[in-house]
Order: sequence, then structure tokens, then C-alpha cells
Amino acid sequence: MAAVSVSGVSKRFGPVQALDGVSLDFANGGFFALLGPSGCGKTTLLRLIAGFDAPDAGQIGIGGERVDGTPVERRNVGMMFQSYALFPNMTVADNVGFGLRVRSVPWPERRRRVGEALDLVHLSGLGDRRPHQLSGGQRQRVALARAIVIAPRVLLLDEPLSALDKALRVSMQVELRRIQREVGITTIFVTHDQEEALSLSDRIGILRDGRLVQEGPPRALYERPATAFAATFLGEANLFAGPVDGGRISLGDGAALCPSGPPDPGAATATVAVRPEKMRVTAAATVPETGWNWLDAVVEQHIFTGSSLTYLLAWRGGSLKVFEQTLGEAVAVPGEAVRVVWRPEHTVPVMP
Amino acid sequence: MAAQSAGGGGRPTVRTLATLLGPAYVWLLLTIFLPLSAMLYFSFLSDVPVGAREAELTLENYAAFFERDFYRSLMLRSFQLGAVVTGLCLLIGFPCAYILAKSIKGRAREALFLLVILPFWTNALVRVFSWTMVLRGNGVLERAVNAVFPEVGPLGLMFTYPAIVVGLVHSYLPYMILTCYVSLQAIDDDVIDAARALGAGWGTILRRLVLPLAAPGMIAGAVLIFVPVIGSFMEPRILGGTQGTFIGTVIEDQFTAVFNWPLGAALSFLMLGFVLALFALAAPAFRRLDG
Amino acid sequence: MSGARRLALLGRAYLALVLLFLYAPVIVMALMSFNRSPFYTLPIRWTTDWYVKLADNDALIAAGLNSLLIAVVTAVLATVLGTAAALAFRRYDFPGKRLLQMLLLPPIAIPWLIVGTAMLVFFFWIGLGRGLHAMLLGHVALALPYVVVVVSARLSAFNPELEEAARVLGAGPWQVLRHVTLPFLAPGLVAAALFAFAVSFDQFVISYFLAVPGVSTLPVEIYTAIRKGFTPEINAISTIVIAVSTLVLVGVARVYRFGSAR
Repeated sequence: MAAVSVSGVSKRFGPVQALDGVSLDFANGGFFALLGPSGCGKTTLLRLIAGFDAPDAGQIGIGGERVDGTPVERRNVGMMFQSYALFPNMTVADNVGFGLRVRSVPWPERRRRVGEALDLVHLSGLGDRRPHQLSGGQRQRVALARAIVIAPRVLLLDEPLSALDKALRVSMQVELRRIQREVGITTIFVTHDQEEALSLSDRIGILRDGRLVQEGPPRALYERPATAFAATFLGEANLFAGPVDGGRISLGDGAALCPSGPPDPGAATATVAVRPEKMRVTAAATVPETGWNWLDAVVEQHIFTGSSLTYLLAWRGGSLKVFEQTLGEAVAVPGEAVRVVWRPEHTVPVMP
Repeated sequence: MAAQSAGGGGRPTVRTLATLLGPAYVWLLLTIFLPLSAMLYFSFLSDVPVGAREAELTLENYAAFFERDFYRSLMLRSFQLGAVVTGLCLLIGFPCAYILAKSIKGRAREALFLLVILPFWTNALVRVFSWTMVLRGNGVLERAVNAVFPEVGPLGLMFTYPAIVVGLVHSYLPYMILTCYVSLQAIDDDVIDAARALGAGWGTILRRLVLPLAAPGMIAGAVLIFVPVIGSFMEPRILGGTQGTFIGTVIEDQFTAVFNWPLGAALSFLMLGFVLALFALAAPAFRRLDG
Repeated sequence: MSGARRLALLGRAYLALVLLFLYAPVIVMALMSFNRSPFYTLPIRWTTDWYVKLADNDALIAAGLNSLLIAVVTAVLATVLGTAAALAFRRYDFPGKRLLQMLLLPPIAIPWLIVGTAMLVFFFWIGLGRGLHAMLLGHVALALPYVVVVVSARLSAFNPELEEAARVLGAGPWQVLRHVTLPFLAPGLVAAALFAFAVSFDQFVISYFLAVPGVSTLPVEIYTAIRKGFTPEINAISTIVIAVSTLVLVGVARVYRFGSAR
């Protein structure tokens, strides 16, 4: 049974359709990322699950129970805010213990559970500090301890790492994952950072303009994006579009691409996406292996980034991007005509 | 997520709003807005509608103002007083605010700022009264002056127009310093440094940079001083004696001595009307100052 | 000495002059209240007789008690009403919000002479009459806008996510108010209440029009006494009045720290 289920949820704020018929199931114990550009509705969805707003249409269930009429304070969910929202007038221990206090948990048990929660986030001994005496990373751990100490049915994280600098962010990602595994709590995580979503979560849901674009495990989403947006938002992609001709996508001039699977049978034109690291730059007029896709382009620029090399290629007035590992082979120079080749299975048909 | 602003995103029920706002605004309705409306109504009556007295609607009270030189010249005199006091407050207060905001730093600034605006919140009546101790014949000022220049003799300052001006400037100066200080403090010091680096002299910086940027504060201060000075009656009575007849004192008389409430009401609204008209005329200049 | 330093010194001297202008008369008045001579002759011969005499002045003492009573009640009422309004303005968007905020201006911006006489006319007309209750009505109205401004300033520094965090953690609306919102607002509320107290305690014009013989406030009594003629007794009571409001305002400054760059 799903820990949280959202079905057909819509929400409008004045002229803005923030969510439009979103349905999603969040599996028990999973770590789920809601990914999308700002304004896509991901935070709105999180706030609807928490209960700060009510959906205009659709249902939300937590632990198999409908929560439409349940106010925030009785939903028993944990939430971490972007600003951490630590109570400045309380000590760290009082902050963490607040949820237990309003639940009238007796003092000895409260103290024990607060202590455990602070241990879990490696902050034991700082219980008497005030929030303003802590570093950014410490504040974040307090916020996390406060959210999970009440043993919530689901943990909601609203861009919790966005206020940290890069180095701290990476170490907090590891930390967050460790704590989530230890506690085994269903976690829903809102982010606009695709790398964060890829490296942290079991499943990702990509939202755009209030609609769910695609949902699945990170690897599957990356290898088989369903739409051009999903392909370009999660990682990078070269997109090709053209009329469908005998199961192949014609690029004109006799060139055609063979897709990994049959394109939409009814459609006259189709779009495919190819990841830059799946392509190879070879010398002009190289004969590609049988069945491989190929095209001719001119090198505009190459950028050396240590472990890899990025080619920017000019192709029919547009530009292509190719990543290549630096294996010490000859490098094509700007102005050089090259042939780009790749396997048909890496040519993924997507919705435009 | 874009639809939620920091604090104003909620959609309240009518009941919530009524509970939170109702008491305050019912109170203001009863004590400010209904009384002002009643007064407007009274200004069109021929008499106070009390007991057996018959009152009818009339424009007589307003006509009286335009027919009689006495009220017109008093109104003019009050506006002149307002202009003089506002001008002096600006002249004295702006440099003071500038020094506070730009030349003094840290705790000293906080303490001095507090010292400057503190008097504003203490009793205005008492502060006006305290000037009588200074200005009166054989008072502190006269003795001090005569101690240095024995040939001066009596100053005769008490119960004069200058005495009223001094008392009013003393009363309202903190307001001007406060509003100018707030707008001057908002000017980034880097902006001034940048202008200096570009070769601007102090005169140019003041004229082209500081004054335009501080204009909102100066305008706010001027309005906040001009309006109450025109309506003042206690200050002229205490410091002006027989010289202290202004439109404010005449209005007061209508309510406390002559009991011609309709005329007092009409004069009050004429005063408000002239103030608004003046602001309307000055608005284009204000806008230009505002940049 | 460099030009810049000389300029800075000149600035400080100017500031000192302005402060002298602002404070000298009050200090002279306070000194004169300790002068034995009723004609303010110098040098001062020290006495506290005038303060002792105040103790026998029943009218002044009654007026003083009235002033305190009205100021305290005004502080409480204005703070409660104004805080509720400030919360509504901070929390919600609704049609007419701008208009309601604008309506806070007239009590501050219209000369007290007009507001005071309007209250006199209206209260008289609807049979409410004059007296303590009428003065209280007026004082609360004048203090309200200040309370809204002071509390709103404090509220604008409040992170609304704090309330949301408390609710998610299981706190009901009242618990949120008690444990999170009010503790944060406390300094603002104290400052607002002290402000309201000062506005009321120093209010002369409104009280003047709404007082009845025998029931008045200190400023009204002082004014009446001044109109009769200057006596050192007035200096004594005036000194007390100034001392009270100065203490209150220093209190405001301590909890609120206005003037600092926040």
C-alpha cells in the first residue's frame, strides 16, 4: 500500500493553475523527488499533502486514509522548510521537542526521544544552544530532527538543501539519505536541482506547468525520457525532429535516423532525443557500423573539462553537443568536418 | 509555488477578517469618521440643532468666510505661519539629520537620534509652556543676553509673533529630523563615494544626489508639520497673547466660547480644503523633487 | 587638522546646538520648579516646596489619576485592537485592504483641533456627552494607528514558515499563537503599548474639548492654570509630566531600538 496517494489533484491560485489533475503514488519507505522548474507546482503539491491548502479537485490519502478534512496539525506529517523555520525563542532541544510537547508527551519520554533524535543527526550536546548560535548545516540538522522526532507518517522536504553552499550540500545529501534509511520513513523531496534528484531518490516525478510529465526510477527516466522536456530537464539531450518515413525519421537530404522503438504509428512527424555521451565523434567519411545512426557536422568548439571533453558541433544551422571521455585519442579541432555516430537504441522517441 | 507570497497568500473567511479588523474599524468609525461627517453636516446648518432651536440647511457659514476680510486674512496669516515654521524646521532639521545619518556612526548615532526625537513624544503643551520660562521679561534669555551686552535692555520677546514661531519650531523640529533621517539613512554610502570617484564636488553631490534622494523624507516632514501648525491654537494662546489670533484660535472660540458650532465647522473644513488645494497645486513640484 | 575632521567637528557642534535648543527650555523649567522665588528670580534658592504644595492640590491630583487611568486603559485597548488589525493586514490579502490601511491616516494627519471638535459635536449630538468615557474613546482612536505601525514593523520581520512549522508539528491555532507568534511579537507589543500610553498621557487637544469641569486630565488642568497665570506649581507638575513620558519612551527605545539600521 502506498504511504501517500494523490489522485486527480488540481489547484488554482487566482489566474494560475498550479496543479492540473496530478495523480501519484508514493511507496512506503521510499525516497521520492518532485523535480521541476520553479512555478511547476511541486511546492504546491507538497503543501497540499501537508494540509496548508485544500485541493480544488481530487483526493489525497496518507496511510490509506483520506485526509481532505483533516487540518495540518492532525495529519502527523513531518516537514522541513526552505528557511528551516526554527523557533528563535526556543533552544535546540525545545525546538526538537515542540511536536512532542503539543502532543502532551510526558517529560521523561520527551527528553529521551529528543536526545535520540539529536544523536541521529549528530548534534548531541548542542541541545541548550539557540538557533542563531548554529551554523547553516547544524540548523538544518535541527530542523530534520524536529521533523522526524514525532514519528510522522511521511517526511516532506521543501528544497531543504538550497540554502547551503555546494560542498556542504553534497555532504548533507549523503547524511539525509543515511538518516532516511535508518528511520525508514517515506520521504517526499521537492527540488529544482536535477543532480540532487538523480543521486538521492528512488523515484522521481517530473512536473511542468502543474502537470506530471513522467514518473519512475532515476535510471529509467534518464535512459527513456517520455518527452522532450523530460529529456532536456533531466540531463542534457540532442533533439531531432522530422517526418516519419518507413519507421525512420527523415532529416532531409536522404539522411534518416533509426529510432530505438517504433515512433507513434499515427503521427506524421516524430521527435527523438539522444544523450550527448552516447554519441561519438569520428573522422569525416568514416563508415559507421551497420544499423548505426550517423550525421555529418563541423566542430565549432571543444571544451576540455578534465575527465571528459565536450564538443559543440554545428549542424544545419543548429548546434549539437557530444561528451567524450578523454582516452588520449586525437581530438578534432574547430573547423574540422566530422561524422557523428551512435547506436539506434540510444535514439529515444519522445513527445515533442 | 509562485502563487504563494511570503505572508499574504491566505484567503481569509469573512468571519476571520471581521473578528480581527472589526473592533478597530468600528472604533475609528465611531470616533473619527462619523464625527467628521457630523461636523460636515453641521457646517451647513443655520444653528446648533439642540432643544427647541430650529436649524435649517444653509451656505451662510461658508459665505461668511468669503464675505468678511477678517477670516480671510486670518487664514492667510495661518498659512504664512505654517510656511515659516515648516521652512525653519527644514533649514534646521535637514543638516541635523544629515550629520546624524552620515557623519556619526554606531551606538553614538543611536543614542543621539533617540535624544533628538524623544522630545516629540513628550508633552507638547508642557514644552511650549517651558518657553515662557525662557522668553518672559526678566527671564533666562533676557538675563543671559544682558549679562553679555548690558546695553540691550528688555528683549520684549514674550507674547510676540517670533515667540510663537520659536515655540512651534521647537515642537515640530523632531518630526522633520526623523523623516529626513529615515530617507538619508536609506542612501547607500557607496553611491556618494561613487559620485566622488567620478569627480563630483560636494555642491554637485548635494544638489544632484542627496537632495533628490532625500526629497521624500523632506516632503513627508513638511506635510506632517504644515498641517498641524495651521490648526494650532494652544501654542499661539500661550506664547502669543494678544498677538496670538490665528484661524485655529478662532475655530476653537466657536466651539468653547461663542458656541457657533456651524461656523466653527465651516471654518474647519475650509481650512482642510485650502490645505488639500495647496497640496494639489504643489503636487507637480513634489513629483519633480521625487525624481 | 584636516578639512574632513574639521567638518565632522563642526557637525557635532551643530548637533549640540540643536539639542540645546530642544532641551534647554525644559531644563530651565525643571530648575525653576525648585526655585523658592515665585517670580523666578536668579540665582536659584533651592526648595521642594512647590512639589509639596502639589500634594494639597486636589484638582491636579484628580486630573493626574484620570490621566493615568485613561493612558493605561488606552494602552491596553489600542494594543489589542491594533495588533488584531496588524495581524489581518500581514496575513491576508483581501479586497479593500489598501483602503482600510489608508483610513488609518486621518487620525494622525488631520489636525487634532478638527478631530477634537468633531468628536465634541458628534458625541454631544448622539447624547454621549463629554467626560472620561469620551476622552477614552478619542485617545484609543489616536493611538490605534501608531500601534498598527509599530506591530506591523515587528510582524514584517516574522517568518510565516514558523507558524506553518508549528502547525505541521501538531500545534493548534491557539498553541501556535501562544508558543510561536506571541513570543516573537512580544517586544513589538510592549513598545506599542508604551507608545499608546505616551500618546494618551500627553494628549491635550482632544482632552481639552472633551473634558468637563471637574473631570479633566493633567494637560488640560495645566493649560487652564497657565491661562490663569504662571506659577512655580505648574513648573513642578509639568516637570513630573515630562519625567513620566521620558521614562516611558526610554522604555520603548530599550525594547524596540528604533533608529538602529535594521
